[in-house]
Parts: sequence; C-alpha cells; structure tokens
Amino acid sequence: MDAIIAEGLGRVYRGSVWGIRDVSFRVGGGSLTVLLGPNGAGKTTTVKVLTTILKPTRGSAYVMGYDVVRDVWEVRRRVALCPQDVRVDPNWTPWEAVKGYLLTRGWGISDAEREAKVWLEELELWEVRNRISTHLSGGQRKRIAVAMVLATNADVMFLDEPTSGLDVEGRYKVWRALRTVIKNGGTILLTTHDMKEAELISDKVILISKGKVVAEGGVEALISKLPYRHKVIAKGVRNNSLSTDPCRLVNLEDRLVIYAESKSKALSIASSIEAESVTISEVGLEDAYIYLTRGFR
Amino acid sequence: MMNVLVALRKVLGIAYLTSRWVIRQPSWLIQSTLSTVGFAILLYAWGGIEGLRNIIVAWVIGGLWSIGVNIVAQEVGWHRMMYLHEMLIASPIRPVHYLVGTFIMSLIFPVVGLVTIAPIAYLLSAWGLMCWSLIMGLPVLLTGIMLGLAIVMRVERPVNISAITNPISWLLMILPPVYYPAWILPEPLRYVALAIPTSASAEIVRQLAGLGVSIDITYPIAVIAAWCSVSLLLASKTIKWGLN
Repeated sequence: MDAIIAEGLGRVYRGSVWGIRDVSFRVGGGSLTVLLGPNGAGKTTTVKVLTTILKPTRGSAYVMGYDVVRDVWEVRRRVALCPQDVRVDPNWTPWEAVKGYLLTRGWGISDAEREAKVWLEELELWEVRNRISTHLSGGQRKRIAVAMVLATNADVMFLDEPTSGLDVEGRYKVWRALRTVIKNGGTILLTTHDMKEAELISDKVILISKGKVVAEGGVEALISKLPYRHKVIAKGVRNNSLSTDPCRLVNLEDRLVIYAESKSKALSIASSIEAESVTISEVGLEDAYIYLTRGFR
Repeated sequence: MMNVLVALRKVLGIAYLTSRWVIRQPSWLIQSTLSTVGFAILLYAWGGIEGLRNIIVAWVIGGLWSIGVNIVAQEVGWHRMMYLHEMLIASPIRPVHYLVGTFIMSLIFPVVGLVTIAPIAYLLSAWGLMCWSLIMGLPVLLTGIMLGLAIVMRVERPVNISAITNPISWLLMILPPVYYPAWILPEPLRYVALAIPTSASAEIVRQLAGLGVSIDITYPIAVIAAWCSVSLLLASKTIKWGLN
C-alpha cells in the first residue's frame, strides 16, 4: 500500500503566487523518500499540504489511504511533522520536550517516558536530557525536534530539512536514527537540498523544481536519466572557449564542469583544456539534479 | 472512557509543556504576588476598607481578563513563532485540547493572585464578593480568550504579539472603572466607561455586593452579553486549526 499519494497538487498563496503547481508522486510504505529540490521549489508547501497545515488549491492527496482534506483527523492521527524552522522552547529540557510532545498526542506517561529514553539515546541526547535547551548547542536543539517526531512512531513522519545547520557528526546521528525508523517499518518523507544526504539515506528521490515534480526514482535511476556518464572538472582555466552547449557546461568563471557521454570523450575534452588542474569523474546525483532542474530533459 | 483518558492526557501534555517557562522563571509569579499586595496597600491607604473591597473585585476580574487577552494569546503566539503550532496541527491533538491545556497552565497566575487576596477576603468576611467576582469574571475570561486568539491568529508574524496584547489588556483593565467605581464619573460618561467588558462585569459585581450603583444593571449585563457574542463570532471566523 502506498503511504502517500499526491495527485496534481497545487497551492496558491496570497498574491496569486503558486507554491506548488502540479505535484504528483507516490511513496511506498516502509521507505525513506527524499523530496529534493532547490530553494523555493515547493518542498515545504508540499509537506504542509500533506500534513494538513495547508489546504491544496487543486489536486488531491492521501496519507495512509485517507484524504488530507476530507479525512483530516484520520490523517492527523497517522502523521508527525518536524517543521523546517522549528525551534525547541528555550525552557524545555530534551526529556521534557520529547515526553511532553508524546503526552500531547495522547500517550500515557510511562509509554512516553520509555520512548523518550529510546530516542534521546538514539540521537545521543540522553546525557544532556535534563539540561534546558538554552544551554545546548544549535545542533542538539535541532536533534531534540527530530527526537520529538521520531518518538511518536507515527505511520508517516515528515521531516522538513531536519539536518540543515547540523555539523557532519550531527547529520550522521540523525541519518542513523532515520534509518532505524525505516528498519522498524516506518515511513519517512524528508525534504532536503543536500545531495549527499539524498544519495546516502534515501530509498527513493523525488526531484521537485518550480512547483512541479521533474523526476522520481532511485538515486541510480535518476543518474541514468542524464545523457552523460562522466564529467571533467577543470580548475584555473585559461582557454574558456570550450563547448557552448549549456546543458553540457557549468561555468564557474575560472572553473568549469563539462559533461561527456563517455570516458573517451571526457579524456578528449580534458586534453583540449588549458587549466591548472583537470580531473575526470563519474556523474552523480548532483549532476542529475542540475541537469533535471534546469529543464534539460 | 478510553477516549476521555486520551483527551485528558493531551490536555495535560499541553499544560505540561506550556508550564515549563513558569517553572523556570518563577519571578513572574513573584511579580504577580507583589503587585497584588502593592495594589491592596494602595487602595487601603486611599480608600480604607472600601478600597480593599474594591481590590477584590478588580483583581479577580482584571486577572481573568488578563489571562485571556494576554497570557493565552501570548502563549499561542509563542507556539506559532516556534513552529510548535505546526507540530501540534499535524498530530491527533484537537484545538479544544490545546486551548484547554494552555488555559489550565495560565490559571497559575490568577490562582496566585487569589491566594494572595484570600486573607483580605477572610479579614473582611467578603467571601460573597469574591464568589460574585469569580462568577462575573467568567464571561470576561471567555471574551478575553476569544479576542486574544482572534488577534494572535490574525497576526502574520506573531513575534511582537505581546506588544499588541499587553497594551490592550492593560488599557482595558486600568483605565475604565475596574479598580474604581463607575459612580465617580459624570453620568453620560458612565455609559461609555461601562461599555467595556471588564468595567461592565465589575459594575455588576459592585451592584450585587452592595458597593454602589452607578447605572441600571441591565446595561452592563447587555454589554457583557454583546461582548461574549461578538468575541465568539470573531474567534469562530478567525481561529483555524490547519487547512489554511
């Protein structure tokens, strides 16, 4: 059964600005799907519609089989959301935040305390559980918000850029916790514009740009949509008069990224460039992202 | 039965989370207590026993008004600012659980005030006055909560919500005849002064407790009824729980 179904979702804000125009996708249960896209692509709007915060202007969406507008309370019983800009109250300790949030969802005290312990340990916050969040780092505070959501064991969890602003260690802690949820059968829809994050933790990626889904699938499947297999990265370029094909070239002034269909073509391009250093590597999700969000399909 | 238990947990969960700041910053309660005592001394110094009786009316009605328009609204505004509001919408909690939980937490302030003025009520044998004040404080509380929510839900960026609700709360408590009786005002002005929920309630209590009559009682009763109806209507049009 699909945990999330979005069909032609559109949402217009005041001033006739479309947050999303035509968003359609499906998310299977027990998977971690990443909604990937540039700033302003419509990721947060999509999440807000799916979690019943915003009403869609057009289209429809279902979470665990329930319509997000018609069956709003059935949906809310089954979801949990970590908003993008959520800030944990400076007067809360991690223990109070997670336990208290579970109580607000109707949990009993002992169950709430047991689950709070599990997720504070998982996110390495147990040692600081009784410290008020003012005395914690920004990364720790962000992890408290993630723990509040993961502890709910909701059928579908939505995390809007949960790792933004976290250092490498913090990101890995969150990623491990997210994969633990998936291992236990949970479903997560996560938004990010971090390619490495999407590449590392996702089961499926939905690429969104200008309010529309431009591609979806596994990381390998998205990369295979690129007509190129290799890229040449030239630093300190002296003869910047190479390929003018805009979908083949990313111009960073004294640095260039040039895409090639094969390794032999990449080698040929590399030999024609006058630059301080030239390297050749295989294309990745970031390249697919640039290619697909620029509308070169 | 199970549903009631779950609802109760949700209410207490909200009260638990929202009460943390009061526990961490008890100086607010000290301020509340000291201002009660201070006002009692002030009114006694200038008005003797009559002044003390009036502080009971004023403190109960003013306190309940302040909870609604100020504390509940600020708490909800704070949750919106911290995006906890969105976490709560995307969850099984209903608006009624949320509001009752927030309200229960806010009760700590008038409870402290009541405990402080209870000895005065005891010394003056003014329990009846206190009861009437509490009863007539309820529509003021309702009006305050609904108006406060209507404001805080309309404000696009609730960062400075206290800059809006504090003056409203204070103005409608200190300027109209709440701490003083309306009969000291010239008669035409009484109608204007008593068109405000706080002063209308205080007037009703004063008349019922024999602390003076400044106007026919039907006028403040009509005022209170109108405020309750309008604020409920306003809130029902303004308050949205998701699906915006």
